[in-house]
Amino acid sequence: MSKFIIRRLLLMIPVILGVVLLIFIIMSFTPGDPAAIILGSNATTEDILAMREELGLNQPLLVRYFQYIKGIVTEFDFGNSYSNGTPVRNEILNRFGYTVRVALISTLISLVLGIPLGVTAAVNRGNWRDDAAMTISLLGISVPSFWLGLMMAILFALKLGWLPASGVGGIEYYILPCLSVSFGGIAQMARQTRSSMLEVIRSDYIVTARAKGASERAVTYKHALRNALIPIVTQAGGSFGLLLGGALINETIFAIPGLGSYMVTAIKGRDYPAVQGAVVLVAIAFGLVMLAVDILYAFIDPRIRAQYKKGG
Amino acid sequence: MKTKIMKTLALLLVAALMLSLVACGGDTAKETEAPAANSNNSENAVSAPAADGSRRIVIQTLSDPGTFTAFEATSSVSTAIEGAFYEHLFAQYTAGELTPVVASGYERVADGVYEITVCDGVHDSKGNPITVDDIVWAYQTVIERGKRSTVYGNVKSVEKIDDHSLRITLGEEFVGEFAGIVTSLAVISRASFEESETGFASDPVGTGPYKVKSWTQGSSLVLEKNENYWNKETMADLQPYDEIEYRFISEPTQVALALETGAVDLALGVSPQDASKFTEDKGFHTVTIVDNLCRGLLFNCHESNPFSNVKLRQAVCYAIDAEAVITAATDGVGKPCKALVAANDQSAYSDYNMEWNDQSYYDYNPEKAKELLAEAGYPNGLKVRIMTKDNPEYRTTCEIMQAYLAEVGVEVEIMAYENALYQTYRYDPSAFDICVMQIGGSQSVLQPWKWYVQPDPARDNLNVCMFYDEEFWNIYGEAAHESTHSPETVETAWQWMKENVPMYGYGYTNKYFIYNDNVTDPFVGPMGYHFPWMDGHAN
Repeated sequence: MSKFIIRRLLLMIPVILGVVLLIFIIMSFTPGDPAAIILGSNATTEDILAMREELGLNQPLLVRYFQYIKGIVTEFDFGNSYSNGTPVRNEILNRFGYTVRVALISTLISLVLGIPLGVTAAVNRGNWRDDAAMTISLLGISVPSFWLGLMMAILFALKLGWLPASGVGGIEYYILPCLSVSFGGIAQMARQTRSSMLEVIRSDYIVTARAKGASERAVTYKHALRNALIPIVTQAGGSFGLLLGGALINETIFAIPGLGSYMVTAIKGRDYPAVQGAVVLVAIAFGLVMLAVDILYAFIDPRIRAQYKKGG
Repeated sequence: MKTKIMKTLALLLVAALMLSLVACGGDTAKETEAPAANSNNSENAVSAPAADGSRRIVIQTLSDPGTFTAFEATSSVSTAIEGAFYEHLFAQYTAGELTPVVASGYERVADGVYEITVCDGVHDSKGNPITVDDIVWAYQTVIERGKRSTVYGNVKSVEKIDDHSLRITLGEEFVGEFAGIVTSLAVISRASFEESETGFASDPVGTGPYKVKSWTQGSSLVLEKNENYWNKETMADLQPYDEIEYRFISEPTQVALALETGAVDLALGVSPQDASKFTEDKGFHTVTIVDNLCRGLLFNCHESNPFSNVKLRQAVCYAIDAEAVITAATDGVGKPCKALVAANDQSAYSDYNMEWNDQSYYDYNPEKAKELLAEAGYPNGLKVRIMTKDNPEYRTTCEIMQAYLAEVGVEVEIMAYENALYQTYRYDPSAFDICVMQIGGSQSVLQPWKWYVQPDPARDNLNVCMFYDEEFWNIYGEAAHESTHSPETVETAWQWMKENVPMYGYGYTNKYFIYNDNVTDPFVGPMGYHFPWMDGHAN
């Protein structure tokens, strides 16, 4: 198992290098001059040319790329932001904390509510409980999270005065953004769980379990759900990884200083170091989440664990 | 089964509807009321004290300033906030009037030469003394770095005279230039600056009445009273609050919610539609101020462009009903302007000629527009590209102009770009025909005009309107130079600009500060910034 993990971690290196090169190329070919944006409307062409020189933008792309990689490898230095001159590393790590909090809580809510909803739908296939669960999940997928977020803010903050409408602070500040982000996740999780469970509950070993006199609860949760977990874990890992990139609209609506809003501001301002730093961090985080998902497979399914051991 | 599905579906739809109704419902009759009148003339008092006697104000702004570095280009957000902890040699609390702060006075000893005396005992919030050497170093640094050259580019030298005074020498001196130079550079200690790891970007230390307590980037900034304030004995009333918190909320609905729930005491980003529901009887007050950004059309007058023809430019101006455009694009709060500045009086521009208000400024006349089009060689109209920044106001503006111009046979293609592209393309003579944009300024009408007409040596002296006319530059120079600035020279420059119309101002708008009963008498400076440390002083 440890060899598998090390191999996967080593494989992440070329992936990260590729991601950095890709983002370098994309940003270089994106029209819009960072120097002109920094200096604003009143700048003269002379000022802009001087600023380009100072930012090192006149150097060839590959030279900038290798300097950037060298900075990360030798000093864990992601460069300084063009817009405020401060190290990008500090800024993205500060903001990543908020994003991880929102992503983690939202994913947990999705799992805690989505899986039972999906199981209920699957074991009651065709009756009203199934219809109700699927209607809820249809709404979850259809309702835009920004609309739900605003409605909840108006209801719980303004009308009832129970929760803060925006900002960051204690756990109460995360309830509304996480609920609005997770509503779609609950729906996806419920549909995925229902679909996986329906495949599993028709299997022979479920019939055997029932024949052996296991209770319906044990059959459902111990035998069926465990075997249906692989696609559910994949779905949850993917959703969590995506949320680590920042739930941009919700971050804007709820004034959460997360990575998503930071990246968008950086892209608009052509703040290359900020964009590159954030993308690299998201790529690393996504890679680690996917690795964690693969490891989870091994815990869920002994056959996969055996394969990992066999493969070294 | 079908009935059950239908019932479930109906139940859920009702639940969704109820959520919308409960959330959005309210006293709609009251929501349509007009914004409350300016209650700025209320008694001098500030935020109500908390139980422990401390006073705190929470202010909403649309974005995080990002940086407070003293020598880089500044944003309007940082300018509005940093005055609480950065002081300048002088301040402008009233248009055209310099109030000594760290300086005690100045004298204009010759054309473009000023001698400034500095107060004794000035120190920053860390206790480091501010000397004349520090001030001279700060000016020399900002000039060397060159990132604020629009303000300091014309400063020839800054020298120490003695331990109490310094001399600033300007090149050709433009009107209002000295005021800009002495009211915009933070007075800081070199020792404190060199101790800072971020060049004051995130840990600024100034001489002002407040200092930074905490800053959660992208979320909030908390300032606390500077107990070590050097000017405390004489200026204690510049610390009306124990703490000032800025919250960065950009989403308009959330801005209104924050104000309604009391999460913030004063908000700047309330939309005109939302502003109407914050009425006096609900405990809210409104200060309406002129946004100093004049909205205008910038014509591409490059020799390769059809708009190098003055008749074509005039035709476009006559074809547009400026009042209708600005009113519709700003939800009824905008007004047409008469002289390419964001005011039709002398409130912000002391040399504004009130007679301009009675003069015609391309009043809407489609017939005249058609005649001019024919004279320009386009009797059947032409196709033009209007470029703008992609925001709702400018997009609406372009769409309305598109409709007006279509009536005289001009077909318009709208090119709305995000800021990065817009800033790049506006220097490219082949990228647009007309640009919808905004420009601000203060003190003199010549200041915002300068931006349009100033030759750029790096682009063969072309200005942003893509032309260079030596005769006009001389006319402008005579009006703008401090020594020859007079109502007559300003009038000559304006008449040239009006007749040749390389740019046409179609309007300006208002913005609102809405605040609750915890705050009274907020102080708003001449550039439209709220200075909370001045709250309680009559505007």
